[in-house]
Amino acid sequence: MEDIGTRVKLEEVNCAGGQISVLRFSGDITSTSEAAILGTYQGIPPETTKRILLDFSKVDYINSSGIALIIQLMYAAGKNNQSIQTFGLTPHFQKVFTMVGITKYTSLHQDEASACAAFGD
Amino acid sequence: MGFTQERVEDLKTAVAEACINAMEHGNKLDASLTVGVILSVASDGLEVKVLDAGAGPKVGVHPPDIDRKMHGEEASRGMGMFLIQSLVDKAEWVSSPPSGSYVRLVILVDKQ
Repeated sequence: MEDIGTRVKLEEVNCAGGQISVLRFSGDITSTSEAAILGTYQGIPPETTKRILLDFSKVDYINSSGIALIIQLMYAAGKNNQSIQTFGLTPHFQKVFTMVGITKYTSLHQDEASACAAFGD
Repeated sequence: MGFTQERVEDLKTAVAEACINAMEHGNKLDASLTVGVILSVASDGLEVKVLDAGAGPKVGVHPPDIDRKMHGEEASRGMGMFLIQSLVDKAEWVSSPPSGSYVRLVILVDKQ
């Protein structure tokens, strides 16, 4: 399978009555994505940003090593007392994320609006 | 062959994981070694064998302990074999020295 690389865009948006950070992933998420994913996450100041959205709507492929990077991101976010909501995974990768148990630590939403709304729960 | 799109996605992920394991663990990232993929069509499904030059996995398949991974108590990686087994109808890892080893995956047509 061709690795077309990972792109991560960091955005600030207004959501659920406050400012949140959104990591918008695109391309493939594999073992080669560490710098893009964890490096971009490390650019989010943990002192001031406590809500993070993960946008997978433009991700073509994720393998188990890529899932491991998402777990590392969530581990780091947990240590920084940040909460994470996730949206945009295809039905197949929603199933895969559920299989490995990630849904115990984040909800998988269909779209950005429902993911945002979940911060208010 | 009449597979649903979801089953095709299952197979794509399982075969990709098997090939990655073959390259990383079986062939130990030695670019001079090859990974073989053999597809065999049967009346009730598709068999895929992924072959490498290694001795086969030393450990069995175990589900990931997400709590330990999320708390940094075990490596975040190591989910490939679990995903393979979960996504296909049959998965077996066969060691066949001295030539190497292979994983055999079967996906059945009538399973949803």
